[in-house]
Amino acid sequence: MTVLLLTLVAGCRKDNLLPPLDTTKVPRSMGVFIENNYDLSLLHAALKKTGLLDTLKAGGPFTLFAPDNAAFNGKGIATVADIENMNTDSLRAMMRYHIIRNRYFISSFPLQMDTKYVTLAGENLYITADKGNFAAEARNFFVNGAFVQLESKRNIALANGVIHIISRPLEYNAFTVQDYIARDTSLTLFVAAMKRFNLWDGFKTKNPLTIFAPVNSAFSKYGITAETIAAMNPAAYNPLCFGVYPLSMRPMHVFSTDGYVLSHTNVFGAGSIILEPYSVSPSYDYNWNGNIETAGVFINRRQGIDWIANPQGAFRLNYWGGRGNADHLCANGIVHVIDDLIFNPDLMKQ
Amino acid sequence: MNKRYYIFLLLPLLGLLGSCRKTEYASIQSPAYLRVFNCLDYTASLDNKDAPQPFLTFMIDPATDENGIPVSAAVTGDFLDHRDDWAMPYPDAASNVIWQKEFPGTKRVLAAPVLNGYDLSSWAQVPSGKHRVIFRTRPLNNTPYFELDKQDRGVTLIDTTIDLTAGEVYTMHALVAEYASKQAMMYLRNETFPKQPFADDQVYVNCYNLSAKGFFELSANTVTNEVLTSTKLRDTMNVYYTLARRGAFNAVVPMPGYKGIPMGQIYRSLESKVAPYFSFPLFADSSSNKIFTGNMMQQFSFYATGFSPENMVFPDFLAVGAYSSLLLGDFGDNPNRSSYYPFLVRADLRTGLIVSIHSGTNNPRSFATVNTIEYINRRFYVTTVQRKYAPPVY
Repeated sequence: MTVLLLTLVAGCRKDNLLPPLDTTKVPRSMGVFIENNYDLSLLHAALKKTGLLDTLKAGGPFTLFAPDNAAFNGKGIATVADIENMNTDSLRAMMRYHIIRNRYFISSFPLQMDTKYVTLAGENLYITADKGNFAAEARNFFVNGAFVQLESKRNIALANGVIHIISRPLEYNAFTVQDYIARDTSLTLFVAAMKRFNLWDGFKTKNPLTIFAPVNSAFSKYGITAETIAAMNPAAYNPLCFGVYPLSMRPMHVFSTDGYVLSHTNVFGAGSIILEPYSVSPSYDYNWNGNIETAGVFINRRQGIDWIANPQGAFRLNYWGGRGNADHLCANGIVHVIDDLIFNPDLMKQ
Repeated sequence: MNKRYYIFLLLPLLGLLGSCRKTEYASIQSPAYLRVFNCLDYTASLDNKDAPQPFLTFMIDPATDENGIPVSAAVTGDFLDHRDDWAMPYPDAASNVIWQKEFPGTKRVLAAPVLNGYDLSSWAQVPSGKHRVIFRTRPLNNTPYFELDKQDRGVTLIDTTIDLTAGEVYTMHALVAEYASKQAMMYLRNETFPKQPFADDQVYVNCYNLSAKGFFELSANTVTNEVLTSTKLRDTMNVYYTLARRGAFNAVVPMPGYKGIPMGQIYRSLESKVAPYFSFPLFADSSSNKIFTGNMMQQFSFYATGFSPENMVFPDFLAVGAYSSLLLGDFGDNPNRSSYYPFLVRADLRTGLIVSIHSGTNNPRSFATVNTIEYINRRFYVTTVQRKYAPPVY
């Protein structure tokens, strides 16, 4: 009897129920992921040049907002050689501005606008959620007005952090909006106009400011030159004629996508900046089908209880040279470069 | 040897004793009963998008660090979202939502007991006496307040001291004190309904206008793409009620004898004083079987001095603040919100301010309630309190 029992016990098959360890899949670090991704080759070059690639291989945990090659192309950076030609220190500051400490998955960002996070560069970046009707992981998110890509391009979980691909490199200029505009040689007529209309000094002292700066070609479209600006008498014009560009110096901090987040395609709603009787509405649209972003600015005028297309100038303006020329974040505000004048000065004489 | 067999009898006894669960029941000495609503409501625009959102954490007796940031609190009402149009007479215990429409809401707390026949399960027990109360903003995510990074713990909107008396029922609001500055304030009302001689065949209602100072003068009368007709209340209005049933095409058909009955006045005041209660009969519908009172609607209409249901004209032709109305109950699936009926609150699914539920052998059976109607900055909120009713018999 005992022998039979022993046989029964010994006859059991003792399977090892633990699966063998898969030694082929070691979790990759963020640096290795970027190194092995052809779509991030420009980012890889930039991180390598600035020595941050090693940080992303060993340190952490981090959250990286990673501009892909198309995003760099939108800023005129097309090849690795372009990256190599950039100043290493400013590139390092720029790259550090893309990284925040800790692991933040999309669902952990609050459902509100402009939640601040301190980057490795020491400056804040602003994360805005579009509440929309989507589930948490599919919601539209924007970092300083740059779109956070959807589906497999967000929440890329790696050994030492998480990567979200964004549609545009982030930009932070550690100087004032006045300095930014003064350094841009395509904005000289705008500088002249702001000086003539006594708005220029405020660009240094006021905080925050949002400035829509028209390029020189916009002025020449109306036959305006440095001489005609010098000859203008500010008292003869409606204060909004040139006051509209810094939004009457109102303390505002508006990214190109904020109007969309507030009121979606309705350019008359909460996403408008009202400067009676006009409204300035930054518009934005993301087309999921072709991964296409379109953005611009609509100008309307109030007539009774209705809004009509701006009769004193442009109705729709574009960012000059594309979306890459919007959302230049500076120490005391944001500069958007536009391709047309908002008002034709001849129609704004009073 | 045989004498030791009693050990085998003792062993299961020991096992039984050892397996006892020693539950320590939470209790609060001499509690007061508190219910908190967040009535702060402002629309985000490009001008105020960076301002802290009125998504709050409510704390009693918070402990703060050296920078004044709370690190713990005796009582915490976290994720306090904007209040719902209808505050239900009982907490939705099956709900596992994180964001709350009120405190305690679905939070697991010591609820108030049945007091003088009223079911106060929507009120939390809190320690009576003097306490510091703060309301702080918090990010709109699902992380509990004290697990947030210190830099994310928001700003204090309200910081005040309250004195609660044991056994009293309190309703607390976070309100806007002044329309222009949007300054927030705490409003604490010591409810009197448990002490009043209310009959259970009457439905009781009182009305408050808790709008901010300057709301009527400063808020917009027209907004593009929005219908705002009949949505503003003057600081003093006369109240009339109408009891009705739903007719064809969701028409509001008044019941004979219950059309446009005067019901006192509503004043704009932020003073925490209980407004007088008015009542209408539970079984006003003569066709009902006196157990279930069918599909009822209650309409409360607000008229400025000089206007009444008798001389009412098309509301679009009236001046702003001359007329407004709140319709409750069975107004249909596709209600006609119009200048006649600018505010619609469903309240109890079928019967508005009358709660109908399986009780005893009757399913459903209708019960009278005690209600509070609050008008706050262009929105109406209804709070319903029910009595304890007999449990269902199946």
